[in-house]
Amino acid sequence: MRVVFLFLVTLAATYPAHAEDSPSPASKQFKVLVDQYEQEGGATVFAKRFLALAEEHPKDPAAADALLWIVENVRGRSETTKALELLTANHVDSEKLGSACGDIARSRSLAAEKLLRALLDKGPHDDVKAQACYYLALLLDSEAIVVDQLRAAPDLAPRVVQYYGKDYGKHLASLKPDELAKLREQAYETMLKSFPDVTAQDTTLGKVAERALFAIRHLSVGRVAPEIEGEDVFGKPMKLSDYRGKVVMLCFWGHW
Amino acid sequence: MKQLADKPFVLLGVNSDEDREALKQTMVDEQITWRSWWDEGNVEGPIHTTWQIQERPAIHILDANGVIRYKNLPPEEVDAAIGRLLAELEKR
Repeated sequence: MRVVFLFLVTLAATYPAHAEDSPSPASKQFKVLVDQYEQEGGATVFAKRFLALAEEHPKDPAAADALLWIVENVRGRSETTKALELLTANHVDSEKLGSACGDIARSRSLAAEKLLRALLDKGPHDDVKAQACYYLALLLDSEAIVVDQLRAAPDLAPRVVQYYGKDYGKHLASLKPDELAKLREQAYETMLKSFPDVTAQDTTLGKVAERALFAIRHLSVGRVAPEIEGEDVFGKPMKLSDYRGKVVMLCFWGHW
Repeated sequence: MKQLADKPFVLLGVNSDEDREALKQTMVDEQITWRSWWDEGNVEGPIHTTWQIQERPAIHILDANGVIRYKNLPPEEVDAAIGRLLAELEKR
């Protein structure tokens, strides 16, 4: 048993060396860190080590790997923000950032939006740009949900700051709903114009954008509700605009 | 809800039940007096689709001008939200 185990460890250790021609010293260090982390755990401790590696070799492709490791493994910490800033400064050209856009959007950092915008505006790869556009829009959508919740219950503000961190939490608490709606509209307009045929799960970004634009323009807080015209359960005609002048509680319900 | 009876307030539903006859009976039996649109027996009915309803029950509150003021409101915040909009209306 021990023999088999040692053999497997040897295989794991030698495999990457064969797989790549001549890995840079930085990429070797990266792999050592990944292996160490898998044995020891402790993402917040390792975030500092990956960051140190990236700062030592700022332009090396392995620095992008190290920074992306941080973004994928720790959210809402100072190392997360630093990693996003360094990716923005040095690695906007990297094709690897495409598949990381979801993690970037979920990183709970004020620097996430800037990186996604940099990828969208300056990135050389169309598929990365499409990903950046999609996740920028989703990030702004999630900010809008927080803003709506804060508007309904302003006493949630301290919890928002606690969860999203001081800088990003304060930013969220200061967002103006109308301005945020404009940014969301712009992101989805870009999606519709530039990436309509890119597929996302079982749909296209064009369809995603059209649906979202309708929601922003007609289903958001502050917009006049779309007319509802039809019949009630008993078959009598019923129209939403007939209730103007009254506060309306609209409840979607059923047995399910 | 009773204390809202004499206020400019109305509760309206959009129902997605499949069985319309059973729903009618339930509404009579349980004395549900507020009106609901019939959405063709389907959570993918035209009203649910237009409103992009993802989770139910979904509660939205509109002011007297038909403007959406609260979306997906948690049930425990409904009373306070309605109170704020009614107070706003009285001030005018």
